[in-house]
Amino acid sequence: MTDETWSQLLAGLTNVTWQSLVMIAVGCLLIFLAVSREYEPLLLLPIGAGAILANLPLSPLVGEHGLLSVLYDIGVGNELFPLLIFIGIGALTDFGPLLENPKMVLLGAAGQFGIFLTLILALLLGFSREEAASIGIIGAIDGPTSIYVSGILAPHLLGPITVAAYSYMALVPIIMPPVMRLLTTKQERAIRMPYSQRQISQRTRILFPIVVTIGVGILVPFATPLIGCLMLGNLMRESRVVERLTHAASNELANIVTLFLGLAIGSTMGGEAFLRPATLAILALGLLAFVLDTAAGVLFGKLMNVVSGGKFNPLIGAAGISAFPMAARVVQKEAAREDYSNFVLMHAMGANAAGQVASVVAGGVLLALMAG
Amino acid sequence: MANLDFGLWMTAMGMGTVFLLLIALMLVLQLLGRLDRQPPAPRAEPSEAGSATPAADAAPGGLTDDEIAAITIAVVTHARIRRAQAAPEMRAHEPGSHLFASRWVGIGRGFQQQPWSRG
Repeated sequence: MTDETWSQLLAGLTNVTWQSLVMIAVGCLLIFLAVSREYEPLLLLPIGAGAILANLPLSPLVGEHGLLSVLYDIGVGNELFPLLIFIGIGALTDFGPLLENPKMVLLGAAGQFGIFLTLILALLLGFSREEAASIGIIGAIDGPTSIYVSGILAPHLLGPITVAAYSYMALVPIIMPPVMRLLTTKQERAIRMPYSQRQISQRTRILFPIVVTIGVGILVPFATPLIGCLMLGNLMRESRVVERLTHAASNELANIVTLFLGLAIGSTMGGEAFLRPATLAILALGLLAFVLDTAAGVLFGKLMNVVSGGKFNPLIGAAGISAFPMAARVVQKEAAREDYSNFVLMHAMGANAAGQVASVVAGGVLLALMAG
Repeated sequence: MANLDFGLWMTAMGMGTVFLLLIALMLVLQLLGRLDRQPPAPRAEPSEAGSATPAADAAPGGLTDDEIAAITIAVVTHARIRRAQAAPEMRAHEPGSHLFASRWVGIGRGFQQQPWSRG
């Protein structure tokens, strides 16, 4: 056999680098977290698999006509996949608790503070303005919004930003409670809020997505793709005349796109691009963004408590971050920890649904400000 | 310093815009909520006992307590009959084994074979 034949046969072994080995280990770690701990398995498992496939030596899956590169080009490079996922999220989301108590919208706004505070910190750490804005959007605590915004502003940071956003979202039950306990007193956490369900007509439920799309679309055109897709899914759900489309959007479409999105994001985690000090900084800032969002929400909740004369449970403010519906469940759990019979879930769901809308609006506002 | 100024400007503008937009959304939602407000129902004149169902008995769906109770009994009875029909025999194989098709599966297959129409 000639030397060339040998080199061809051993091409895989000779092209192994330490960076690719580390990234394969990172991919395995993500798969472990998805399988063993069930941390956002729907996305972390494909991301881990994508990271492994992209870092195998001479992987034909990346590069021209490679499967992973094709998936990236058709769905991530042009922001198609996150928008399709938003249709599915809209079809799955019940905005009823928000419609019952519109004041909860304010908590959704407060839950976006972390975006901008993280942006400032990223700027101080030396990131460019586009990079800082992309890192800050992790604070939206909304995966598709993070992918959409960072895909436009800093596509080279898409991998670490997505991994940070989804990993920390899975850790919401661990990250939020210490912050909530630190900023509230036992008496505040035990405040009971009576809940009286208000009948929301189908007409109102149908008008909601239409009005929000038109209103936000006119005021913040940059948010139109995000809010438009989210509300399209919700309109299909509430209209009750396109059950097949609603089912397809919330099941088949969302599942297929989630798989493709995860693989495409994983393929961006090439060893040389990912293993940099900047990645560690992004992961740390992402965690900080979650903490700051929760803190801002709770502090705004305390403000509402003062304004309402002590009738508002400040814990509900923490549900103003997105992370729908996990954040609301965490709030209920914390409230029940102080007083087992305290039931604040529906208030928290209202704030959480508001956070979903607010994170999309904040993403659009961020894009508009960066374009200006 | 320029970066800090930019960050502070972004925070002020960003959060200000987000709050303004969402306050506008809140107002719109409150207006939408007014569409759902029902005019107060005219107070029922006191009448002979038993001739009219008290308003307090009416559930949100327009059903009375008696109707809800009747529906509940029917649903529970129906579920009990279905359970009795499908009571599994003593398990001879491990769960998940295809060697033994439980009576649940058997009943499901039986239903699939039956011609059925809504009318």
